[in-house]
Amino acid sequence: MLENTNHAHQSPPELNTGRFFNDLSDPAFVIDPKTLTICQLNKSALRLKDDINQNNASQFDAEFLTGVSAVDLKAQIAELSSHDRDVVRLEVCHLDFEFDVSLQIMWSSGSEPLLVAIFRDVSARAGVDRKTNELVSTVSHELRSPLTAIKGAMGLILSGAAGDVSVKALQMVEIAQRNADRLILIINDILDLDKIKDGAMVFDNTEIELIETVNDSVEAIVGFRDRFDVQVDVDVQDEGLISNIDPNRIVQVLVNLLSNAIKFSPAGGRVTVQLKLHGQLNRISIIDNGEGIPVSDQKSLFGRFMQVGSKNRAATGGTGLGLSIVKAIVENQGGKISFESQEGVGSTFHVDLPAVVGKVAVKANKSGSD
Amino acid sequence: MIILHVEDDEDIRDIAKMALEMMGDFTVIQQDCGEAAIATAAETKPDVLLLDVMMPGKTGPETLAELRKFEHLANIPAIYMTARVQPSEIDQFKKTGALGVIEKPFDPVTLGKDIMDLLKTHTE
Repeated sequence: MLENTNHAHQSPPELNTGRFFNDLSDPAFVIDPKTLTICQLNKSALRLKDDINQNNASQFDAEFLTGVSAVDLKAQIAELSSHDRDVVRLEVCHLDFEFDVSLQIMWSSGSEPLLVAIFRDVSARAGVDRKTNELVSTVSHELRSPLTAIKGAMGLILSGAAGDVSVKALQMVEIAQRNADRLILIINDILDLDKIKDGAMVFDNTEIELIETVNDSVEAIVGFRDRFDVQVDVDVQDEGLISNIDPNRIVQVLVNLLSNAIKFSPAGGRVTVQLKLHGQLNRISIIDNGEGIPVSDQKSLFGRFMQVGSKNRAATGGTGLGLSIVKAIVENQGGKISFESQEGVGSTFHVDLPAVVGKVAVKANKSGSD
Repeated sequence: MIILHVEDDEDIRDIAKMALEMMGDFTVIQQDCGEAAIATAAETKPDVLLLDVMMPGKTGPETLAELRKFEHLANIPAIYMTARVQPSEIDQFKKTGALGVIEKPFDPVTLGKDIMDLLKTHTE
């Protein structure tokens, strides 16, 4: 049984759907793209409509149904009609249910095209996702308390505040301390991934000279650099490069790329951070002469839990999550990350960030080093 | 300088006390929950409040709100120690009247300096 809603004096358009439409288990609505009125409903959609109406819905039209304003809905219909997009997907809540909604244009011979909205109930899946996210967040935060005590106790021993300790014992505590730091990195990465997935990562953008961000990043990596005995140079090709970014997040990106470059460089090696204008973009490049990335690993380099090369996680202190986070942050800032690498020769990672228009860069002829 | 430290984790209390008393010029009074801190507030005269945020019973912000009702604690600087250090969360904590936040895990070697640095922002 199909229902026609009484929305206009003239007879509403109707899609020649056949029986399959009515028997679809998911609620399906046919909408007139011109008037945005609902023309047809299948059985499941009728049940949903009745449930919503029982809850005193003041209206029942395409805007209410999809949660999208008429203006936006018409814009999406225009994209669908011009074949710029095949389908528009929406997340919609009605009553206590969450739906994935797909909007598609159906073309019927001899009649005007119609918009079909199919609602898939994803409440159960959304509930599981939410619980998983809460669990990840809670566990990650709870892990910090014991780590605070572990790191604190070891920090006091290493500082000498707890009295004299043999050199051997100090070495053992240093190993434990390093691994506690690694655990914290893993927890931070998991929390970041969680936030990125939820779109909840907060960015606090400001116009800033990128050299400040580069210098902060190099400063933050001093201990790590010394541990691996690698020199880090800053090479400013163009001065006065300004981008509108969250400096803390870009420092996070650069520290991650720098730590990778340092880890995969030989002792006594050199890593260069280069700053220059690249077309309309500000480019920060991290250049190393390390072991390079095997071609087989290059395609999936920005995937989660990706580990490169011969060094294992324990040796390098990586989580395998870093580059996927780096990519998400850079893209969120309107930038792009790319790399060039050759095994046995080294790697260069480029972070391209939109330049602030009207701020002119000046060609530099000096380079600093750290 | 006398610090009133409220923290439900016994190990973290021990570490903080050792760090502040052995490596800095601090006297640390400790309570294991907000309720205990409030119950003994009348006879406690700290210079700084150092509060855990997530505690069973009263949270750090709830504890601070109650402590502020005591005249002698109404205006003394307060600092939270927490693992929840998103910029939005820090802003929320500051709105409750705290100077700032020390992130967990904290560095015991620099804990005293971190507190003094935050106190400087109070006096500036």
